[in-house]
Amino acid sequence: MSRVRFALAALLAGAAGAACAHEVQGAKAQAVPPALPALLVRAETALKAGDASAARDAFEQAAALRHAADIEIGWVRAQMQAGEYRRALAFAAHIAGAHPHEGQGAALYAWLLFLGGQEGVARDTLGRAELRLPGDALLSSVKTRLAATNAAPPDAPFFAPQPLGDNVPTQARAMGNAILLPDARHAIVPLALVEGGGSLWLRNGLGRSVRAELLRSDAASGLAVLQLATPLDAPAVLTLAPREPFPGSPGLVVSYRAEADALPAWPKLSAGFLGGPMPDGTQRRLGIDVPAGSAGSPVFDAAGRLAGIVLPPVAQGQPGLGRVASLMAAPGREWPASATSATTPSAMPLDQLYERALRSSLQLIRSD
Amino acid sequence: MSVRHSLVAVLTGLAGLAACSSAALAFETTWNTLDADTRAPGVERVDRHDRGEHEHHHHDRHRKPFSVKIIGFNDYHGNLLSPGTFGINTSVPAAQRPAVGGADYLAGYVAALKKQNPLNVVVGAGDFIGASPLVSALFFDEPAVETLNKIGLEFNAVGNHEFDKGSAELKRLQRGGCKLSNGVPDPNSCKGLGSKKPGRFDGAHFQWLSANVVETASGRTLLPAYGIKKFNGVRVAFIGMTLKGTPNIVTPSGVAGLQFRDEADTVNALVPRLRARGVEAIVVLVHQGGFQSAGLSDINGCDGNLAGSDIASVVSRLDNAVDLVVSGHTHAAYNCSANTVDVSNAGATVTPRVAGLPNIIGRLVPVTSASAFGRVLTDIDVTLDPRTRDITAVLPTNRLVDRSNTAVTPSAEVAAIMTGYNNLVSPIAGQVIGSITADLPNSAVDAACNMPAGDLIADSQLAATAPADFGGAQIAFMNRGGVRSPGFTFVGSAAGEGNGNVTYGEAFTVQPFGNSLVTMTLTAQDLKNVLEQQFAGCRGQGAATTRIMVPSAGLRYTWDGAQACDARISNLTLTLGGVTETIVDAGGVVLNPTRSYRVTVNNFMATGGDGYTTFLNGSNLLGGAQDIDALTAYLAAFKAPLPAYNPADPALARPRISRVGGSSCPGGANVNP
Repeated sequence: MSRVRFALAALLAGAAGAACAHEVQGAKAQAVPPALPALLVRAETALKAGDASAARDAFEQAAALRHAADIEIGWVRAQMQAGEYRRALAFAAHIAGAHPHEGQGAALYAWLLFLGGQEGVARDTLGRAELRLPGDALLSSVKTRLAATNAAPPDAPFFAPQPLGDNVPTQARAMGNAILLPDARHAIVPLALVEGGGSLWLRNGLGRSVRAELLRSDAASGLAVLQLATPLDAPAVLTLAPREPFPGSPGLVVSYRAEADALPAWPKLSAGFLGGPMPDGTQRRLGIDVPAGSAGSPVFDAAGRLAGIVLPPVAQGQPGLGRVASLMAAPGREWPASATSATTPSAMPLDQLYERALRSSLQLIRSD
Repeated sequence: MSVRHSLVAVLTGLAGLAACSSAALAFETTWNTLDADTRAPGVERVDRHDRGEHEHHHHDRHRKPFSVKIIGFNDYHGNLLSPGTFGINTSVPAAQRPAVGGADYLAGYVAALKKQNPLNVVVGAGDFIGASPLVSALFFDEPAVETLNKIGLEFNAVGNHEFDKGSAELKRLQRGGCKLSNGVPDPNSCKGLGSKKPGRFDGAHFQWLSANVVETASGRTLLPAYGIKKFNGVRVAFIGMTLKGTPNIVTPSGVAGLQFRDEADTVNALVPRLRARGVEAIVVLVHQGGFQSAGLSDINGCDGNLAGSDIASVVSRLDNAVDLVVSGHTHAAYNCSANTVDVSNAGATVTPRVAGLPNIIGRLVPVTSASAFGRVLTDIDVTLDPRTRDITAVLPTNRLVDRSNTAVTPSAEVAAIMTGYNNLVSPIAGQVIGSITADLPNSAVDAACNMPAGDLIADSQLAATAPADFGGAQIAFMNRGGVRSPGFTFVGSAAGEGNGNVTYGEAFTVQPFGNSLVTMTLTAQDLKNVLEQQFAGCRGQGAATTRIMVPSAGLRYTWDGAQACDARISNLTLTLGGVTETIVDAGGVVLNPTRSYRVTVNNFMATGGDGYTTFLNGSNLLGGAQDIDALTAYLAAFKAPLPAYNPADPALARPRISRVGGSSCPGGANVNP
């Protein structure tokens, strides 16, 4: 079932209907400020055009006129479009609490928590909301998805980014993941995902897609380098871990699920502990439960340093962990000298790590 | 009949006394029941710069009007971290809006404003908790309260979100104490990063006020109705309240047993009582607000004079005695006062205008609001006339809490609290890393000093360093002092991981030092020597400390505390791959002193820690994983659906340490108890 991507009409209807939480319970209705509808049109138009700054500006102006969940959700969407996950998450928490009689705030907050690796808190948030709003369809939909390892975004316009950039044909499929290199013009991907030809696209967590072509491949490491037709949004500077991570050390994966379609999505952060060598000694186990189709995703250590890449499962086994050394030796590409760090920095908060990965972790799309 | 509590009089007297002799009573707070009919309690603070009522009869400077700074904000909502960027109005391009807020900068701004006038007070208009980000909400908003304490908040109205978790929880946050879940302290409560010490929550140092929230059963206000602070002997009252419509927007369980009364009626009923106490200066802190009409929404604007808003309705019925209204709730910023500006022409035209909201007699009362989430502070200079004890002028200015302002020093103390809680948010601590079938204590279970928790740790360190490229270890030793209480417990914790499951957080509690593993080459003689070095007074070990290490599976030995130094170790054997070799025979003789072994210890021991200086003889050192990583990796083999770690499993080759004689494991000078 395809997702509704753009619900301006619904949003405006909500605003026109005075969706302020304070009115839901029967307090007196307030007139819609005359400037509000035009502001919301401006905000949605800006979002659709990928102008997150203008969208945020318009939503902020709207919020200065009316305290309403729909407007605030719009602001969160604009923040996500800008790659500001932490601010979006913090404000989504407020929407969930400030509009307890509307399910959408809690649903969005739970979804963003889930994506950022806070599954337990996400479930608790939904549970509390369902007690207030039993039978709420949106809450129920999100709850179902949270229970599945391979959860697809719920069917609502604010659970995924706007589609931006190069057009992706409808028959294309999300095959896996890739890591954007520091120059924003190249990406590393498991070779197995791009063998066999077909047209390729890469899309970041801001929803921006770009055509890509196979530049080089390296059978020994099992990795390939893709060249992007145009640069994507500049990624946060990725620091490579100075050595291979030890088994049992905390690891974090930010990945997009494989899908039969190729709709924009926000990635999911999975946290766990890195595995040791496979029994046959050929490869290391990832050791972290990740959504199906996570191959190609970046693996970070607790300090947020790039510590490997998820490799496709061998036979029916678990995903593998590609080596830092393989990334460093990625054919044709060298990491900036400054990107390695021998010191052990303190742990990076998960929300910060996720926010950085929105630009570095890419969805790999293929059309045969 | 009034039941005025004598504490009021006592405090009043003490205030004058204290101001002359000691600052110890400064900011002393007490409850005092004022009136039997409404039973509206109040709370009083005495400014440390107050000079006492008797004094200003003799000094002209206290008969002249003077200025007091009121610093107000609202709707903090536990935003310890910056909520983003914000402009003074909507004409400021998004790219030029500075990052604002954050508890560290809030504290810095408040401190800077206080420096401008030692006669000051910090107040809030509610919703300082609830609907808060994870960094506060996960810890039951204790971080919000702790940071507000450090910011210096003194009086705060309750808002609707103060009731999100019910009145009992609000009272806990006011008074302190840990949040109980199923009768025991919740693991996410009492982190204490901003309290006196870890493991406790101090509660609010500020006073929540709830003039219009009455407990149905008792007829008393839930919390004090107002607070009073004295400046140069002049009392200023702060009446705090939430919107009367709170029950409509809060979960019913949150407001059960409470009545929410009309805002204006509540204030007006308090005015004569305050006047009877000699109070003429009255400030209302109310969690109710409005919006400017369409325009640029300048933070010091009052476009449309908030016409038709709830706050305008409240103010229109307020007694003329009210001098200032600090409002909130809508998250809007406005400044309806003598300092109002009309901003137009894309921000290019700024026109001062005297504004305010008309009260019951039509006088314009200053009304402010400071946006939300700590983005803005309202800096209010009021003039107090000590002869009339009233406020004669009010000049508010909304100021961005601008994180790019180099003139303001953020509070490092608050920043540390913010960072600390942010680091605690990680869900990794709650992940199950393995399972056990029984308790593994960190204490000796026999006279030989075998320790089940230490066995597990030593085995994990051997496993992590056994592969050739990770060290090729054959033996691991764990110092027993590095195995922290309580070891590994079978019974599940309050976190809910379930019986038998070991979480990463629990493992970290046992292995908290972040030690890394070091694999080194030692000779057979070194092995004998380091085991002899465990005993008090032997080979440089402390005279009053006996420290029996815990070896990994495969190593076995016997010790006899009745013997002399260097004669206590015998029958040291190593079994690898089913083959057992004797390193030290039954007579204590090292059979092949130069034979080498790869041995893993933590970096503390490797550098001679706990008196094991023999490890300094090690060669071909190779650094390895952190101890906690090794433990996590090892326990992964015992995580469901795989069978749990069973300490009785014969493959674990326990006990590893045997002893001749003795009745208890030694730790001190007596090596043979």
